[in-house]
Amino acid sequence: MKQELNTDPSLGDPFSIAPGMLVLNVSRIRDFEECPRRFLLRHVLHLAGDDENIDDASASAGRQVHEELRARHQSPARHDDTVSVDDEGTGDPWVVARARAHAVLCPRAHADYVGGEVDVRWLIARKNLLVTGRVDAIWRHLDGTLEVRDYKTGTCPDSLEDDVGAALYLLLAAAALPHRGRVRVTYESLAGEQPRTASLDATAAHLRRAYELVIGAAERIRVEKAFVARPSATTCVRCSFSGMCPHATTTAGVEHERRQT
Amino acid sequence: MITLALGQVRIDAMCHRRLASMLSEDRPRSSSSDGAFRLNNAVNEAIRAAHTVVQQHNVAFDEAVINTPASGLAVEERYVFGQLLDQYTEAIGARRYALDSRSGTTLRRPSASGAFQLTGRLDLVVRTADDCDDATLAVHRVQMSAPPDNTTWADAGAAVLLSVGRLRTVRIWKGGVDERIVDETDIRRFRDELHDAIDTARARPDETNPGWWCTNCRVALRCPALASDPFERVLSRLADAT
Repeated sequence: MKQELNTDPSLGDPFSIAPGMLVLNVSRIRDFEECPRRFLLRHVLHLAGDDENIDDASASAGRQVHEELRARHQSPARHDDTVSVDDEGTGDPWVVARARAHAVLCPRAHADYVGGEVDVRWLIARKNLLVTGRVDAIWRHLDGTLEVRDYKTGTCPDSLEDDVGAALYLLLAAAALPHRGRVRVTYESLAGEQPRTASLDATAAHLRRAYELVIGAAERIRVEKAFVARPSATTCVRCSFSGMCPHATTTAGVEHERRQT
Repeated sequence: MITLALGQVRIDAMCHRRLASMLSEDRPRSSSSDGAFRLNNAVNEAIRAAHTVVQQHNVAFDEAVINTPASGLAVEERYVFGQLLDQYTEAIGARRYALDSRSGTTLRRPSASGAFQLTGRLDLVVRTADDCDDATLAVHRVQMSAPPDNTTWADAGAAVLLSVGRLRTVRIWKGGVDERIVDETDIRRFRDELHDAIDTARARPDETNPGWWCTNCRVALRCPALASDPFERVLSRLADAT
């Protein structure tokens, strides 16, 4: 199905009400590149997927891990506690286990904690583009390197060389944080039995590639009109719109199409 | 007189520079995106039509809402349209409401000083069928996603627009219902905060407060608070550091 929709870029989010300004973040770029239809549904039409309004346990637990770690870094004496640092110490054991996994990866012995859950924005004025992201933790190392960390309570790649999220974080850290030294992005994998990190140090080549990725996505989004679905077994199976999408390769999508006809 | 749109002046998303830019304009602009607005309009139109049928033909709401057309929507939107209508029908249950004539209209309310007026569109205003006292006036909102935790600002603003001292608000979204009473304390706080914000924006129009609202700000492109180094300068800084 190819359906023309009224998606004048000057009108709707992620197109800001500032005339012609486009707002991009990791989620929007990933959604557009994986399936333009999902981008349309989530970011232009603002539909909620079938599981997105339900506070599912894994998403909620992930948020709790982020809050727990921020609290631990703000109360360093309790960083390695075996209970939650909330007032009653009654945290979810799974969350506390993730915080304990973080303890062996934490750079605090040789770096200063700058902040956590920080919103970062970079305005590329001549492209009418605002790039945004939320950083889980920022560390400043003794050698001046600024390190941006992202906590992963689900899957975590082994290498960040081709990771879209890492590219965006590198670019945002280099462009939007008040810093004149080197920049690094690190993912902390906290889900498995073996906590591990994956890092990427910014080079000019990395930044150029990230910049081109953002500018390229912005240009493609601006000219997109049809938002044709790009169904695949790997994409549809974890898409929260598959139950309502007639293009989905999952059983739910097929069933929906049958009902519509 | 300066007009402020309720949806644009949320006190929890306040930047004086942004508010000052609104105060310098002679008309408000919608902050709603076109895409989201389309489905929202379709759902609210369908509910208003069903309420009218209930009043005219004395049928139950779930009978009136059947076969409500959803033309002009994409397949996925029609799916959500159906879900939201089901959710609304379930939320009101067997209660009977009369649709208030202000439903779906844009209301304007001048401030006491006459310095500005507040404007906003209320999609669904209903009264209980057996009592037309303002105390029982209810504002229903049907939304596509769960509302933020603190909705007092918008609810108190709705009460101001309707000129009532007490309002029952019911918010219905895919997956949940939230109901609360807005009273005079909330409304007084709303007025005080709004006046304070306007006074401050006039006194210090260049004061910035960056936040998530930057993505919906008309003056963001010229905002001094946003990092905006050209890419070449970012590269040059990195080269100096390495």
